[in-house]
Amino acid sequence: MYKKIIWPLILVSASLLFLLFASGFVTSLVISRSEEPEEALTEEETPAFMEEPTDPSLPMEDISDILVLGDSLGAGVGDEEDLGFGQRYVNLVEQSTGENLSLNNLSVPGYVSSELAEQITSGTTDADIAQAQLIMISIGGNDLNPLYFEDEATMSLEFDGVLEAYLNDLTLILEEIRSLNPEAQLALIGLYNPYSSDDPDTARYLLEWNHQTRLVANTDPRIAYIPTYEFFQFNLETFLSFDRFHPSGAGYQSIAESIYKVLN
Amino acid sequence: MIKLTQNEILKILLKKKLFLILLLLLIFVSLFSYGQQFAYERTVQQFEAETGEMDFDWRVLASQRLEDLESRSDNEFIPEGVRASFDREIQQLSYFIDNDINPITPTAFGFNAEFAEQGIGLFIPLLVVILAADLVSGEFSKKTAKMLLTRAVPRWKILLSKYLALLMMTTLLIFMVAVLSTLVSFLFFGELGAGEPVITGFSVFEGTLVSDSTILISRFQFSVLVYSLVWFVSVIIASITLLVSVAVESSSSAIGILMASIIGGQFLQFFLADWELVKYFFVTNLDLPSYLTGSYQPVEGMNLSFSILTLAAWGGLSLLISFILFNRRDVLV
Repeated sequence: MYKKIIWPLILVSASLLFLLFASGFVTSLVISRSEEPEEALTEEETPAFMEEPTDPSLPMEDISDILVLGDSLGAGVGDEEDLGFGQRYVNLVEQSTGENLSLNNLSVPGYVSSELAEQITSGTTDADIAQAQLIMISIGGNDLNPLYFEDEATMSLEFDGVLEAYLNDLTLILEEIRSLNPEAQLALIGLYNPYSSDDPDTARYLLEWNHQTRLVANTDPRIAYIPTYEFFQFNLETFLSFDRFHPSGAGYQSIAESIYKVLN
Repeated sequence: MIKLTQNEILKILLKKKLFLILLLLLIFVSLFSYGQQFAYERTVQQFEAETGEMDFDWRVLASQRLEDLESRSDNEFIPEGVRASFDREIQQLSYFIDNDINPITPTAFGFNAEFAEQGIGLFIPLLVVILAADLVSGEFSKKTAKMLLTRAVPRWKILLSKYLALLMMTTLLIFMVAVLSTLVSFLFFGELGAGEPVITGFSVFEGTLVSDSTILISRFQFSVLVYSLVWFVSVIIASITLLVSVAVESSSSAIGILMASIIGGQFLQFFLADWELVKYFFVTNLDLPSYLTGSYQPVEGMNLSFSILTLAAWGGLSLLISFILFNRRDVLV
C-alpha cells in the first residue's frame, strides 16, 4: 500500500518541482547577467572633458600670481556671486594688505584626480604652473563622491582601491608641479561632508581620505593642507548652495578665509 | 527503466536516511529561528534603552531614511543609474511604510532565503552527501552489487536509474528544506512576509558591482529564485557524490572524502584567495545566491554565469567518469 502511493507521489512532485526550479534557475541567470551597453556611455563622456582644459590655457602671456586647479569647487560652482574661493581669497588679501593679485583659474567641473593628472602632464598648463606663486588645488571630491551612493558592503571594499588610485594621482600631480615650479606655495583643499553628518560610518571614510591627503601634503614644507571639514560640519545649512552639494557663497568665503589663515 | 528508478527510490526511502536528514534540518532551523527572534528582540530592547522611548518606533527611522533618499535622488549631480537604484530603495521603503510593516521584523520568507544563503556553502551540500554517498558504494560494502549486476540490464542503465532516483530525492530534499524553514520560522516569527519587496538583479561591470539593472520582486519570488540556485548546486553536488560513491568501496570513506573536500575547499578559499586556480574549484563557486543579493565581493573574472559554467563542468565530468568507471568495474565477491 505504502509503496504504491509513494512512487507516483514522488514522481509527480519531483517532476513538478524540477520544472519550478529549472525555470527559477533560468530567471536568476537572466536577471543577473552582466550588461555591456554602459561602456559606450563612459567613453563618450571623457573626450568632452578633455577638450576643455586646452581652452583656458591659451592666453600664455597672462602672468598670474595665483593659479587654481581642480574640479567644480575650484571653478566656484554654487557661488551666488560666481567668485569661488580663489577670487574671494584675492579679495581678502586686497582688503588686508592692499596688494592686488591676479588670478588664473583652470578648474574643470567634474574632474577626478586622474583627469587633473592628465591635464597637468599634457603640457598645456606648464606655463601657467611655472609662473604662479600660489597654486590652489581642489581635487578628490569626484573620486570619493560616487562611493557614497553604494551600499555599505561594497563601499568599504572599493574605498581602499579608490583612495590608493587618488593618492597615486595626487603624488604625480604634486611632483609634476614641483618639477615645473620648485618655489610656489601649494594649497591642497580638504574635503567637507555635504551630506548631513548623522551617519558617522560614511563620515569615517571622508576623514580617512582627508587624513591621507594631509599626509601627502606633509611630505613638502611648501604644501599646505586647508581644512574645510570642521567649518562645514556645523554650518551646513548656510554653507551649502541650493543643490545641497556645492558650497554657497558663504561656504566659499569660509574656504578662502581658511586658506588665508593658514598661509598668512 | 522506470521500474529500476522506482526500485532505487524505494531503496533510498527504506534506508530511513531521509528521516535523519529531516531531523537534522528541524533541529537547525528551530535553533536559527529562535536565535534570530532573540537577536531581534535584543535589538529592539537596546534601541529602547538608548533612546529612552517607551516604544520602538521604526516608522520615524524609516521616514528619515526615506526623506534622506528622496533628497539625494533630487540631487542633479548623481549619475542616472545611481538615481534609479535610489528610487528602487524608495519604492521598497514606501511599501513598508504604506503597509505598516517594520522592515527589520524577521519574517518566514526572509528567513528561508537567508537559511539557504547561509547553508548553501556547507550545510545543504552535506545533507546531499548524506543522502547520496552510499548510493553505489553501499551496494559493494553490503555485497548486494552482485545481485544487482546479474540482472539482464546493461550497467549504464543501472547507474542511470540510481542517478535519476538521486536527482528526484535531491529535488524533494530542497523542497523540504524550503518548506521546513518557512513553516518552523513562521511558528517563531508569526509573520509570513511573502509580499514584501526585495531588491535583486545586480550585475558586475568591469569588476565592480552595478546596481543600475536592479529590480524589485516579492519575497516569495525571491525565495523561489534562491532555492532554484540551491537546487542547481545540490544537483552538482549529487553528481560529484555519485562519482565518489562509484570510485570507493565503502560508504563511510565516500562521506569522509566528500566532507573533507567541501570543508577543505572552504579553507582553500580563505588561505589562497589570490591563487588563480582556486576559482575553478567547485566549492568556491557554491555561493550562488549571493549573486542575487549583491552581497558578494566581486572577484576578478567571477560572475553568476562563470560560477554556473564551472559547476556544470564539474557535474558533467563527474557523471561521465562515474559511468566509465562503473562500466569497467570488476565485481569480485
